[in-house]
Amino acid sequence: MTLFEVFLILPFTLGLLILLGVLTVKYYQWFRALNPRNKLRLWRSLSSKQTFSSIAEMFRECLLHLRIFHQKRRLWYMHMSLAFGWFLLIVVGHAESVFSTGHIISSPWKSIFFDYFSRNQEAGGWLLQGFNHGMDLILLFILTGLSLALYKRINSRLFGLKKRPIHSYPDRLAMLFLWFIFPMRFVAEALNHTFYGGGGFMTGFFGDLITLPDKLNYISDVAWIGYSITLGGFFFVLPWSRYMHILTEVPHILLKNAHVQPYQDSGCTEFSIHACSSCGICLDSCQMTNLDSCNGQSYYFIRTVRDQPGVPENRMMNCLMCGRCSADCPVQVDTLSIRMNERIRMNDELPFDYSYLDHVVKKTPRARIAFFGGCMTQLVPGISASMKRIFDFYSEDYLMIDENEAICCGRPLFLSGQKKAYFEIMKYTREKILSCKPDLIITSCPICLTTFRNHYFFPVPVIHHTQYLESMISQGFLPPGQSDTKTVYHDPCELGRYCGIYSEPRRVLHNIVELQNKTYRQDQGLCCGGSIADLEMDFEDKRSIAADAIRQLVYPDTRVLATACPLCKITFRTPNIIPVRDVAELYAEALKISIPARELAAREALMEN
Amino acid sequence: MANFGFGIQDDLMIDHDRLSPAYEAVLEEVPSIAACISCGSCSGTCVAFFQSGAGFRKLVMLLKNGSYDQLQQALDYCQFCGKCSLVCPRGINTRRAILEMRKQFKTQGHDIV
Repeated sequence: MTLFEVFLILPFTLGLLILLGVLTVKYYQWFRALNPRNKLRLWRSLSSKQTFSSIAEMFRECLLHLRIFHQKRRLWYMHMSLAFGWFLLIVVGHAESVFSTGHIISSPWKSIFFDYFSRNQEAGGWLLQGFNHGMDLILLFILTGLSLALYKRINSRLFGLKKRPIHSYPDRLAMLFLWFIFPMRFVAEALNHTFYGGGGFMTGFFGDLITLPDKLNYISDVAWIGYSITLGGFFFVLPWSRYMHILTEVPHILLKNAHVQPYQDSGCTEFSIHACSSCGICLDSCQMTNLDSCNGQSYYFIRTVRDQPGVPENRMMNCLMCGRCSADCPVQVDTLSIRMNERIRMNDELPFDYSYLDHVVKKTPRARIAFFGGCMTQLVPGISASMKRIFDFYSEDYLMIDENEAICCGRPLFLSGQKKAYFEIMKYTREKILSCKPDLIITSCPICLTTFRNHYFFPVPVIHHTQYLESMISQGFLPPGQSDTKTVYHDPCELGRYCGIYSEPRRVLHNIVELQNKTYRQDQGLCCGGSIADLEMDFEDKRSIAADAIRQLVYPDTRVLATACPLCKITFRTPNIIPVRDVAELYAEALKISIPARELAAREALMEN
Repeated sequence: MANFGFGIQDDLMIDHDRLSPAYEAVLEEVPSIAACISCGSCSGTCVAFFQSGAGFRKLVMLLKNGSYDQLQQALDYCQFCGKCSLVCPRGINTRRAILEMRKQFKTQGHDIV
């Protein structure tokens, strides 16, 4: 090997070695930080059939980016051309080297700088000629994607992104190296053709256009060194930039498919935050992006967690936790759990004292159905009044648990990070609800429903009131009448994305009003803006998010906006655009006969006699 | 002078020239707290008020007065449900203010005076 060749391969090899070294150390640390239980889950998943689907997902998502394809096509082409193109360049480049030299295992630089090392060797045979043209085609494929990436800096709206993400300095440096890699390769190969021949249809054509005297052949060598430096530079900056996602997506997919979540697991959190590619899709799906005063979007939050030891409180608390970012994320980073970790770390030790709840009446009469309205339902008592009417109508044996003495379900405490206080209050609420020994618990608040399902572990089923109403309709027992009021249904975040209840409220509404949005896309619901998770936004910002959501939801001839969450009802009323009703209220109005079922049965019995 | 059983106490007077340091610290983080008109909507709707007698209005009064002992006790009762922020006619971010008060007392305790 000549001295020049050493100079050529040195930047590339050094960068690659540093990258591999840093990666090994980091992955080892993160893996050690995994919870023992999660480690076990990972091992079990690796030794099962799950691994095959994980490998398929790696190919589908790391290289082909199919989740972006389903959302934004132009952005998909840009990302896919760079990822899949580079992958092909490496694989096909290595195959070319294998066919040319006959050695299956060779030094990496032999295939990376193949055209340099195969100078003056005429490509013999159609196979090697084909490789030359194929490699040019792949390079062209990447360069088209790169030109789109450059254009995205000028006009991101063409790619369906409202706002372009503003990257940090290490990210920008890494991006600069990445942008130079492929043009440098193109220049190096074209100049190689000028002086030494070879090359495919593209590099050959451009190489022919350049006419330089033979004594200037060192320019070609300089271009190859430039290519090596850009590669080495990119590898060197990679572990400290967002491009860490290229490699971290692989363990992230394995962890995700083993059902390991970042919640209260620092190892999995590290893997997740480094798997985030900072693509900016979450920035686009976040409803706070339209407001200038908000800076807590998941894009900025995850980047801050990755780059800094502590996250500023306003960034951590400025989030509606609606889950739209997580649902749209092409890498499926669990942003909500990561944010919860940070909130718990900051606020878990705050003082609390709920001993006064000992005096709350816990002796309640026995009832089949326990109805828990929750704090928010108390502010819009129309919902609980309607539910009472419906229960009476169907002659249910029910009890309004929190009609007189209310206790919070604790979710607001949990979302603010006060986990200990949350579990303390949970004990009281659980005891109070179970005091009537119910067979079924119904709640009208999706916030409470999420909490009950996640942490309360009730011995009886917990359902939302829309599920109860739907079961009444499907049983066909005294169904309500239908009106022609044009109604649009809004999916509350906690009911839709958190609990997966989409079809039941729609089926109820379909039977009682003229529902305008029967079809829906799961996980695409809008947030009303009033979420209890946010602690930073002021009243005006919340109102503007609500107004924006209403404008996106309703049609010009819509008369009523229906929802299934008391908090959404309160928030949607503030902009005063359209009447907002809960599904229970519409149902209670639609009940045709005002005679309760028990009386009806008695009358029927009288008739028979 | 007739003794009516109650009177003006020094420690319950609000002096806007000398607001308590804790109030100013909270005000810095949550400027909207200055808009409080002590209307009592928050206390009227409070989940904890029914059982413990401590509502957001009381917290603000105690904070302004600098009655830290009572404030600390009343703060611990809050269930954080956020009903107060939904009924506040002045749009005060009450939950953030309560969180800030809890943090002030956790980090500084009575040294805040």
